[in-house]
Amino acid sequence: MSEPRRAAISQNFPGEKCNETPPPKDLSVVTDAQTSTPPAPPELVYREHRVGLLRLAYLLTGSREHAEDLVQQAFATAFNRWSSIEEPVPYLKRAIVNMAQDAHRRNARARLFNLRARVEPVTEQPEIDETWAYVQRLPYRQRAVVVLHYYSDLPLQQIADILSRPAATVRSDLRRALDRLRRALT
Amino acid sequence: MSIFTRRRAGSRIVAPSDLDRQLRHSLHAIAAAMPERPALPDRAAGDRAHGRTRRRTALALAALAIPLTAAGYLLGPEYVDQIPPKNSLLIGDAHGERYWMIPGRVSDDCGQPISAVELVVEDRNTVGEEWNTMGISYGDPNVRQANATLCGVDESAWLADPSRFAWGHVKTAGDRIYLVAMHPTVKSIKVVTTVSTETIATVPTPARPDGPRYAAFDVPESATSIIASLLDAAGQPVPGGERDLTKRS
Repeated sequence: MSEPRRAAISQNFPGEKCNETPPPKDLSVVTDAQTSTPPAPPELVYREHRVGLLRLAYLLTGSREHAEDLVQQAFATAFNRWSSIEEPVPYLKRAIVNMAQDAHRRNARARLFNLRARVEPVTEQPEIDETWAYVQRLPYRQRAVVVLHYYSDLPLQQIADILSRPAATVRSDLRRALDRLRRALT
Repeated sequence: MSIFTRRRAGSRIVAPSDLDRQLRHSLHAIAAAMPERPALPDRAAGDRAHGRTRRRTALALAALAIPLTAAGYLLGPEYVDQIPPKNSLLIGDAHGERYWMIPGRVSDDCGQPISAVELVVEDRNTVGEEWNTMGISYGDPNVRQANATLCGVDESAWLADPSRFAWGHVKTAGDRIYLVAMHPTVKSIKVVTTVSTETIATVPTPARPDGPRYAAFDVPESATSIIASLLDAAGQPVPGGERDLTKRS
């Protein structure tokens, strides 16, 4: 008898912690139009990219307040190891995307507790606000793929690197997201 | 055997390029229109902590990761309250798609579990949304003739034949994830596909440690044959306990 598989499937016992969101990794494979080269000091990156990162975080969370927190936390986390980060902006983006996922899970509970999330109009343009409302209702990973693809203009391979997921899975996430949005918007 | 699914459905069509354009335009417009100041609500307790975090970070960019407020809200059983789910019996990973086998939670008309175990695939189950799982049980469902309702399962014929087993699967991007219910004497299941051979340990449910055993595993979507062989405690094949899972028995 061959040994039961351990790598892909492992037995889990009640009370045992299963998985945690991995900490952001260095993004040696991720390139981005906003990447700072040569490496810039944190104050400069903060000054030049804070608003862009804030907007990304806002699209991921739907909350300006949470977006502020995420961006600050991303910088705070990166600061101590700044010298070892080759490309700060992709690193920060990845940190924001990962932290937004945790926030999204908690917010989902809060929204449900309060019965239903209210989707406030942002632009007062019905078509845009309606699209935004449906984007906000996507499962987090689908939403992240949509935002990174259509707002940050990243190709799927780079999104896969940021999300630490296979490109095929990201492609599938995007397809599912578009299917949902297509159904919702027609 | 009984298998059930909980899922949502529906589908219509819109021109992809229109949707692409609409998404791009809308997201940029929303980002540009991001509120200048946080509109704020009812987070009295959390506000101070967040404010402190911001001030501290803005001043020094110090490495202080303050976790966001953890919530402990109670949700209805129909909603996903936690991923990874509680009390998982097995954890799997199909090319980045995590999944878990958990004890069944849905009851029939008699208050008996409809399924002994459920398969939770991460991609289909988002916290705050409805569960979308597949369940499986060992035995034949008892159908009450009077009102055609379900009332538990009858395992007697299955327990008399260790080669009988039940299975179901869900498809993910590029993989199929199988859930299998087997006789209490089946301690592992060997799975042979065109690309790999794996032996997976089976587990019972906590409620019935000596009862039927279950397993979950993933195989590539492209596999044209999936030969499953039941193995006993000595690792020997159970006579008659071999099936091609791509073919229904």
